[in-house]
Amino acid sequence: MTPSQRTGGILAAPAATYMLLFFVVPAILLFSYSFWISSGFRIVPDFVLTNYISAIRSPLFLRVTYNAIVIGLVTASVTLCLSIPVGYYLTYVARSKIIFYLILVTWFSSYLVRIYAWRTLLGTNGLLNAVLLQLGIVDTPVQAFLFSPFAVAITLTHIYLPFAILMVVSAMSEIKAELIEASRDLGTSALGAFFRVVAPNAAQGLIGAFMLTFILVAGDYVTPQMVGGSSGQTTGLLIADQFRKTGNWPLGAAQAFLMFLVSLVIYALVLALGRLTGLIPARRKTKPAREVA
Amino acid sequence: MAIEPKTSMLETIQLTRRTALLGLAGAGLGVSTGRLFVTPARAAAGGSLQIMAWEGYDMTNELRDWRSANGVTAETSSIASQDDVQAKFIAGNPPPIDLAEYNQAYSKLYIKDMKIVSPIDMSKIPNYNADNLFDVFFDKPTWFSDGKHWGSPYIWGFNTLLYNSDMMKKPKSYKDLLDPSLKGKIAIMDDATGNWPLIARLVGLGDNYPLLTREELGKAFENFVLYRNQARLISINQGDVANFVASKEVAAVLVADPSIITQVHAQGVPLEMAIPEEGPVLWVDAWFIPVSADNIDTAHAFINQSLDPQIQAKVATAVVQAPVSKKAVEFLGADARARIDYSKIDEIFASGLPGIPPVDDDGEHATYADWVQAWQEFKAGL
Repeated sequence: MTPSQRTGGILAAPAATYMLLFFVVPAILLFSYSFWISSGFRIVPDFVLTNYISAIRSPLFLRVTYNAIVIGLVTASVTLCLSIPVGYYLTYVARSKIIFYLILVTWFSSYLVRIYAWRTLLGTNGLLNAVLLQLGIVDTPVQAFLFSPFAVAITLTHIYLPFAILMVVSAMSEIKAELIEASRDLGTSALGAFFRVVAPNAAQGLIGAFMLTFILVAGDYVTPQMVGGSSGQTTGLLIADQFRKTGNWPLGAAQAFLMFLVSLVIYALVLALGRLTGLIPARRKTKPAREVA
Repeated sequence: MAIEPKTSMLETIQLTRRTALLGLAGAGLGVSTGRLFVTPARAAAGGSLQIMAWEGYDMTNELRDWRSANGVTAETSSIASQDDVQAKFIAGNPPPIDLAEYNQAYSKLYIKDMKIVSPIDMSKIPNYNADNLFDVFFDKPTWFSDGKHWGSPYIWGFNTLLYNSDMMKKPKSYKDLLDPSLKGKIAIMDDATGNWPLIARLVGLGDNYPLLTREELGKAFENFVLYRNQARLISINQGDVANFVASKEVAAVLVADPSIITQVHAQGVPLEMAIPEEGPVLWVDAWFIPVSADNIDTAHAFINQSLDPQIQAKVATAVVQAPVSKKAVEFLGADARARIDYSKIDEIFASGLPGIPPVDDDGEHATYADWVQAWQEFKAGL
């Protein structure tokens, strides 16, 4: 081991140990729980697949998982679409730290406060309805704004947009402006430069922003509970209920790991779609460098 | 099937001063058996006390002086539903909670099935005596079995229909809430065990609850969907629904805790209580000391304070519920005293308290897990 490798190992050890103890070990425990059985608020060690089978066969689980996937995909797509222009502007146009800090300032408000703010905005007597009524667009307040998948998606877009912008800015800052200028000099349109230069080079960051948003949104159970109503319930809430209400930790664990699998499948699909459309460059097979005699 | 037995209970929650006084006199005569004069050693109090209690029921204000005098620091975790309590104890290594509230329906689950309750040493709780407590709470099997006190009844009340008298006329039945004019203007509390007795009563199966077959369970929830279709929201907690009532987005709340009235009145909205023909859902909350408790002496001292008649009156007034201490009645204000006819407390409790569905499958009845799943499906719009 070289001195630099040793230093790197020492520096990474605290974080790695932390993740091992507080993520990997609990995740393994949770995974093992998913094969146990629960009877009358008692958890009994076993090795059965009944929790996975009953989850997959449950219309409730399928319904809320479908909701979670749809809300997750819509929110992640909208968030990414909104964050790309902002990221581009911050990286190549304004280079302004002030705007960047203003975006970060939104994190200073509590997650719950922001949810309640959206409830106020979307409510029957909320700002949105007041404006629509004032403009004569509607005659009576629209109740469907709140307690709907729309309300969940718009609230979570607001909450996770700063995360996505951070990741997009980070990804774009690696791409030199000269590359974009060169592509324009060679006759590419502005949009073409984005798709042929920026997107392929920032692909990992863009996919990271999309997937991070998707995973956080699809697993969120507070926002759907507060603004989702009956049609906006997601898997997170169902899983939480298995742990809190029925005491059926094994079933909750199985449902959690099924959601984990769903996230992996979505990730694979996003990668495949990116490669298919050319937004993600195909991996090049590198030949070993020829040794010079 | 009609729900006749509940009618007698309704009649009892009408109140006159005369009947209340008669009731007190009768109760006084009825305490000849039991612990009239107790001279036990009090529990030594001090240090940190971890409490799990419903919002507003932890006596933060009422026991301020006691905590200060005894150097007790109370840290309370609010309960949004009773499930929050048992959830802490399912896996190994339960948290060191010194004291928690539990609804009478969960007695068997906590004491016999989960075994998370440790016996209370009543010699350290001098306020627990037949002279102080109403007979229906003193040494009754719900909290006292196998010669041990597992819980100390603390407060009781009922959840019922609340309505804004400016937005609708007083409902006589929950069915009145199905009026098309109230579409999108009612709220349902996300309190499964509070709603379940009503869900059964609405299809005439109230007397069978909590022992419904799976078929009956399906029928009951199929009917309750009508109320979901009328609902603006299924509210996760009292503060949440209070906001919607205060903003006049919601005109009525099913099976709600009347303590919401106080919160809403403070904002100038006339929220009133109605006792519909289906009846209120009675409950009794008790304190229990979990097996994982650390500060056991202080927990005993805290329970003792909670049964002090003046403290009982203050808490009952603050949360718009009723004391388990009969001596507390004289300390209640006129409004609080008039709300319940304490002379008929035996009648109020005559038809028993609702339990929870069986935890273990007996092959015949819908289990607790079946009910929870039905409730989850109801909430998810299935």
